[in-house]
Amino acid sequence: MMLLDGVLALLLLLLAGRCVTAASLLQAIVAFIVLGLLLALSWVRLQAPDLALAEAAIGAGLLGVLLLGTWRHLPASGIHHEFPWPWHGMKQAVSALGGLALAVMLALALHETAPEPAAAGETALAQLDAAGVKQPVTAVLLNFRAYDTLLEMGVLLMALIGALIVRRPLQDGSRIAPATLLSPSLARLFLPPILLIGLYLVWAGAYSPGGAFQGGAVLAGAGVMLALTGLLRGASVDGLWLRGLLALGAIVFTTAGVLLVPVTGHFMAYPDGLVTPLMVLIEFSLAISIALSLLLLFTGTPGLARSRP
Amino acid sequence: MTLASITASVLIVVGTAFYIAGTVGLLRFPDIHSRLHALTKADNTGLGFLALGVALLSGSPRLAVLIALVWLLALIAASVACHLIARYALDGTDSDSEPRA
Repeated sequence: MMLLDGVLALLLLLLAGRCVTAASLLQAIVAFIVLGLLLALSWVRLQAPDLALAEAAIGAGLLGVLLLGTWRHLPASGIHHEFPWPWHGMKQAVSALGGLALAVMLALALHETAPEPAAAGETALAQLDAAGVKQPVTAVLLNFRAYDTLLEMGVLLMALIGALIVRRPLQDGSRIAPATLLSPSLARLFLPPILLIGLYLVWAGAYSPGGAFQGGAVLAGAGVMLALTGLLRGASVDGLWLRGLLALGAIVFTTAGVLLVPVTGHFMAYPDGLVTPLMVLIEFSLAISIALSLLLLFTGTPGLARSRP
Repeated sequence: MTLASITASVLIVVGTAFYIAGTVGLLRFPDIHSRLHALTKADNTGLGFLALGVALLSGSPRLAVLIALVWLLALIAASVACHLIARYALDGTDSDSEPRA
C-alpha cells in the first residue's frame, strides 16, 4: 500500500503543477478535475470518507462543471491578456509569494501543534451520545459546531447572490436543448437513482459518512444533468417559493436554535428527547438549500423552469 | 489463499490488463473513432472484470448486487457518451437527423 500512496502523492503533485503550467485553459481545467478525483481517493486512503465524498461531489464534480461552463462563456480571444511592463509577471510573483507563505505557515502549524490528550476531538467523541447522531462528523457539523455551519450556509447564499449580480444576464433558453433524444433519455433513466443516492446520503449522515453537503451536492448534480440535457433551464424570473427554498436551511437552522432558547436556555442547544428528529429536519432543509444554491450557481440564473419540448 | 480470492485476483488482473490496453490504444491510435473503439472495449470489459473480481472478494451478496448495478449504469452512460462523441466527430452535430451530405 506504500507504493499506492507514493504514486498517489506523486500524481497529485504532478497534476497540481499541470494545473498552473498547462498551455491552454481547457487543459488546466481537465487537470484540475482529475486532481479533484485523486484528492478524493487520497481522503479515502487517509480514512476520511466524509471528506472523500465531499471532494468527489463538490471538488471534482460540481466545481469541474462550473469551470467548464465558465470556460465555454469566455470569449475565444482575450483569454491571454498581456499586461504592460510594471504589471507583467506580477501574477506569478504574487502567486509564488502566496504559495511560499502558505507552505511556511503549514510547516509551522505541523511543527507547533502536538496532539493533546484532552483535545477537542476527544471531548466531542466522548459527548457523542448527547449529539443525537451516531456519526461524529455530523455531530460536530450540526450540533457542537452548529453556529459555524449556519454561517457557512450564509456564505453559500452570499456567494450565489454575488455570482448572480456579477454574471451577465443570460437570455431565457440560452442553453439550447440538444437535438438528440439520446441524452435526455439517459438523463431520465439516471434521475431516479441519482435522487435516491442524494437523499440517502443526507439521511445516512446521521450514522455513517454522508450528510447535507455531500447529499446536497449529489442532488445539485442531478439538476445540472437535467439542465445540460435540456430538460431544465435557467429562467430570469424567480418565484417566492424558490427564494424560500434557497433560504430554507438557514431559516430552519436559526428558528430551531431561537425557538428552543426558552427550553434549553442556550442558543442552538437542543433538548434531550428532540435531538435526533431536529438533526434530521435541519439536515434535510440544509441539503435542499445547498442543492438549489449549487444548481443556480451553474445555470447562473435566479430562477429555474421546465423546458417544454 | 482460498479459491475465491485466487479467482478474484485473476479477474482483477485481467480487468487491469484491459484498462492498460485501452489506454495504449487511446494514446497510439491515429483518429477519434479508433480511439473510442479502443476505450470502450477496454473500459466496459475491464470494468466488468474488475467488478466481478471485487464482488467476489467482498463475499457479500448485497455488495455484489450493488457493484453489478454500478457496472450496468457505467456501461449505459459510457455507450451513450461514446455514441454522441463519435457522431459529433463524424458530422459536427449531435442531432438525431441524418448527417448532411
